[in-house]
Amino acid sequence: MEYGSLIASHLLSGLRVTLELTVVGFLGGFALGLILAIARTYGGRPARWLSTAYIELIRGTPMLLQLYIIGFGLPLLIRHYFPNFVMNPTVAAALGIMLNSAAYQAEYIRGAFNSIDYGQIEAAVSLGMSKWQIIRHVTFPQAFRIMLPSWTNEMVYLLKYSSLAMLLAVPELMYQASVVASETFLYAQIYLLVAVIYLVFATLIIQAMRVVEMKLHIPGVTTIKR
Amino acid sequence: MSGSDRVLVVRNLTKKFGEKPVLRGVSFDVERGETKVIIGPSGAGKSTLLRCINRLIEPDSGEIIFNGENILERGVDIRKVRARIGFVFQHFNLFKHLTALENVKIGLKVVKGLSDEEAEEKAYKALKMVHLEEDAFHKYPAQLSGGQQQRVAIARALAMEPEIVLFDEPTSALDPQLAGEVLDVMRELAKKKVTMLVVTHEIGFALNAADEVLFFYDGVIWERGTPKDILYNPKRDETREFLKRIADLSVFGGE
Amino acid sequence: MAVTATTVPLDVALRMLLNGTKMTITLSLLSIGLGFLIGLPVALMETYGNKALKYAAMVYEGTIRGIPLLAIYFIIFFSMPILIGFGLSPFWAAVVGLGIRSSAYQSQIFRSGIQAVDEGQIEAGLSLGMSKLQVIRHIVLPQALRFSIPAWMNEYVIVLKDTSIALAIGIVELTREATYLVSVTAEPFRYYGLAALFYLVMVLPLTYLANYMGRKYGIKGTGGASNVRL
Repeated sequence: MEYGSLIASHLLSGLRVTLELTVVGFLGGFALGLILAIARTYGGRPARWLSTAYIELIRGTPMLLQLYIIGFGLPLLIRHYFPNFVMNPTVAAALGIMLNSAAYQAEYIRGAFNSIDYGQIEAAVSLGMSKWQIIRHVTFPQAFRIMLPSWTNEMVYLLKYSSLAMLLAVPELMYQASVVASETFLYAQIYLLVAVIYLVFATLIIQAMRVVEMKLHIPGVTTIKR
Repeated sequence: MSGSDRVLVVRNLTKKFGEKPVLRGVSFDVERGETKVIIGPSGAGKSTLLRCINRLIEPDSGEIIFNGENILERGVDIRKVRARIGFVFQHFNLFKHLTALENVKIGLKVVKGLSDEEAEEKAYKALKMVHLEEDAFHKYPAQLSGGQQQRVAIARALAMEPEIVLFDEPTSALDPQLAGEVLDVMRELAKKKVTMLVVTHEIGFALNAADEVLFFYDGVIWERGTPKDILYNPKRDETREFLKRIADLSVFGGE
Repeated sequence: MAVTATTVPLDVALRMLLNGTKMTITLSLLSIGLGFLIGLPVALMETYGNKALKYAAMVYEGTIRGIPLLAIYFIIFFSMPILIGFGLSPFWAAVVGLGIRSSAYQSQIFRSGIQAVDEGQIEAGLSLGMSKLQVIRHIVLPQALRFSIPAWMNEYVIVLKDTSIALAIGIVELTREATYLVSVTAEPFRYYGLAALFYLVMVLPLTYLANYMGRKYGIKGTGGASNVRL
């Protein structure tokens, strides 16, 4: 195929950005989500309220709208104070994906911690453990395992939804595909190829996480789906 | 003061949940080496009483003197106290992500700061003491029978070398046969002079293992005495009524 | 943005956003409906079908769920006309794309609902002399669909939000209308904020209703009150 190397180089560079967005969004989302979950569970009234409001706001609006606000709104706001500021769209998209994922991950984390029965906490308290010892030795090791399937979902979700960054002109996989499709007019082949690439990586994530789940499986704490 | 042989002194303990008084001035002592059994109707507050003793639930007023120290006072490091009071729960409450052995070790390591080897040695001993089958040592709670789980829970409490062990209906979530293996262990502990405060409906256990039986009713200790006095010759109508109901139940429940 | 900013009267802006909202709702209803029409048979195939049907249903679900909606849209809108010589208008491409995407999630929802109906009832139905189809129709489905309501409402919320992605193939829905307003006025916070408010007004009551239904009808693990985005 005469366009082979052109297509390959575009798609590969796009794939790299897509994976970066996914990883950064996931990890940043986890860190921020953990804070939100702790604020919503253990925080005082204002912290709880703020965290809940944030989570509902994010989950109640489309990710695309959030990306537009970050991509078109935020730079305007910053330029108000730093007139020469230019925001890299990839940074904006990563930030948007992270802020979005945080709200969902906060709820996974909260749900996982809540699913641990109170009796175990009572038993840990009775042994004389402190709050942090209980979190570290009793609740976290279980919540972490219970959370794994949601993490798989979230990673696949972010992999797919990072494609929305193309609408901010971020040179990720979908964007590169559309560029190279319009250059080569191979619309049919390229979009199908891109779909396959996403599918392959989604499958990789699912299979890798399945291995992790099996490695960390504890009967009575997690169930292994066939 | 001869306080040295009284591990636990409870005086005028009260607790309300909302408007509902659950403990209305409970007083009793537990001597070192003694097995004391508390019986009484379900939902009357016996669990609350036990949970007040290690302050899983904060009582409203009264005194709990553990080894001569009122643990309800300010400035008491309650975690240190809890480490010296064993607690065995109705539903075992084992840590689900830890094996039987690890369940016993965790308190020794995290709370008492023992090394892994020391903890392992003590945990082994404790599990042997409750006759846990050796092949169950490395199994997770979900892979154990209820009786095994409860024996691990007892070992978890014993390994901490507590000065008293509180039992909250330890057999009521178990089939009769599995309850039997747990009760056997508890009887042995009573013989070994482990100090125990046991809330239970097992009249048989009360009869042959208890030094004293307390009948808890309407938020107070309604009647107390030797097992034979309370179980065969109760003085008060409420006690008699309760025992009659228990007996009826065991006629239907037993075979 | 190098555009000279102009102001837009509030009533004009609101009318534009409302028009977009109409499109958003229309798209979402048609898509969830199409997703239902495909998803339910797929769920039945996966539960009651023979090995081949089961496998086909599984592959369908797995494939659709591994591809971004944007890619599905581009395939339908750009690839399909070339491949089969027949294309859809942007509107119908949007409906079909979102409907297909949703069907792969709805089938999973219905499958969980079907599996939550206990075997005993099926045995009882067969013992009465019902055919397998009659049992499915009269015993299983009425309960399975009821169990599925909470998770299905959550799916509808996801569909509603994802109609925004249709702007990529030229659909003028709520987010697109807001973007028009932003590009004219250079006031992203005002108009994207208003659009967000419009979405929240539609979404929040639905999620609360779904949570309520989840407590009432939900089955554990099927995401009645769950927050898992599938």
